Amino acid sequence: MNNDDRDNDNKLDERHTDDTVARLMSLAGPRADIPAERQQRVHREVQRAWLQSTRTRTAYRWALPLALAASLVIAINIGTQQAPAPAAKVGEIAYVTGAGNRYSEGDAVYAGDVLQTAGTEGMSVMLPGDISLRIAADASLRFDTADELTLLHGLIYADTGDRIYRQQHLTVHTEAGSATDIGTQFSLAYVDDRLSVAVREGRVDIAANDTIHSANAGQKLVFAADGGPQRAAVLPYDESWDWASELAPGFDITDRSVMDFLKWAARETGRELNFANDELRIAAMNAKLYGSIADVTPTEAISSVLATTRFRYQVDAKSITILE
Amino acid sequence: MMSGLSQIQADRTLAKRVASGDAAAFEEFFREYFPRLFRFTLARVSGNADFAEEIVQQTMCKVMKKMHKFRGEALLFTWLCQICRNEIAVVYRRKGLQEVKTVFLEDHPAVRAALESMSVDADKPDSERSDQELARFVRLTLEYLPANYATALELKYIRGCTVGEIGEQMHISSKAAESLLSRARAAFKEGFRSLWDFDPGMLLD
Repeated sequence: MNNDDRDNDNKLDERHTDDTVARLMSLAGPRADIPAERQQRVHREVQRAWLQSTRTRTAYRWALPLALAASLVIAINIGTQQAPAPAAKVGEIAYVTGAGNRYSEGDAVYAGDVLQTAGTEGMSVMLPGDISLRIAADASLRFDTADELTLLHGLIYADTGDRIYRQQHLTVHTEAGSATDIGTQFSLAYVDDRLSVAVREGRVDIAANDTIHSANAGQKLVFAADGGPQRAAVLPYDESWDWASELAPGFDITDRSVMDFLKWAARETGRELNFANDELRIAAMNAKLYGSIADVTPTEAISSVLATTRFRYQVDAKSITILE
Repeated sequence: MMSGLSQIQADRTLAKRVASGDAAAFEEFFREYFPRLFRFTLARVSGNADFAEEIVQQTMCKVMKKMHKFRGEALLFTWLCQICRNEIAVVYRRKGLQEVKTVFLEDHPAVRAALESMSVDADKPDSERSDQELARFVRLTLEYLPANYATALELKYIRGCTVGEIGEQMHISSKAAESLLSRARAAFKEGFRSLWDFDPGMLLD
């Protein structure tokens, strides 16, 4: 058998494997979806058991040597005081609005920090994993960890990306319930004991009144203090999202493709991105941009950037279309 | 799929790191085994997700206390399943409920471990049952694959993602996704063959 025959045999084998796997996988269907809320509850308890167990074993292992060394350690430490361990950094402020805002871009946010905004202020905070968090005016938000927040009062918005399989999920607690994202864009308001969660893309699981309620893209759930949720529709390009788009951290267009910019603008404004044909799609991937769109809202940026390119376009409330 | 021996070696190393207090290892362990154990349990408690959560939580908490005792005589997943099976019996007994009966088709330890999560629906017609059983075989094989292999296969064949999209979802380059997918396909076939002792393609002809 020569090399070509061997290559052909390998290709046939690979195709056969692909076909077999495809058919078997379609027979099995998707694996059971496990709500992130369940996963987090179990994680919390198991982590607690793990910490307890490792501390106990470590303490046991070191008990005797420590006992022997105790008098020496005490002697050395007399007169000195241990500084408390610094809180972990959980994010960074990316954008602020409002005259007199006490925060600045680049400020670090630490675990335990409570960020507050006044009447005309707003800000966005970047969390690990490229999660963009926006805090509207008159809000108060505590950062418990990088992925657990407590909304004490007001309105926030989170864009956790469009990836389904993420290792971590963002959970926002309020006194009326907790919301956990499943790869999404959503807003959460807690005002006058009333929790409302609106989902622009993806899905959010809300644990409230001992029940987990799922809210999918285009839905808004409002929980009154004494009852189950009321559902309403909210479109991804509804103007109720505008405040969040206006707080979007700047997008550096230099050396980025037109496609990158369009995807960002479409995501920030909730518009659908369409191309008249595949050639235009490829051209948008290959065309590079230069310049700056600092201090311009995503909606304003669409026309100001595209005007500098050779692309013809049409923008309406629902979509951005690149025309022939 | 890793060979049994190297998988056991990897399991032993992971267990040792978790037991020594390595936080990254704990997260890796939880990420890898929680979903698999949850699905394993769900199949044995008639799909009751609250029961499954309670049982998996208790199992994993127990495992944390025993992790330093894991010697690698079997796969870590097999060991977890064994502890979980005991926990299911405990929870059912405590609640005064009758446990779902399971059937063991083989005596081979690896196959037996995999089959532990299968229950039999005696009321279903034969043709439906064989399709369902094959689907279960597939799901169980997936549970035995490393989590990233199963995810890549699911993204490709269930969700219809392109290689580029798989890369995006899994935070890897398209080239790496293509290679991962190729390894996952081979591991799936190999895993299926070694777990069930027949070529999966035979069932579809």
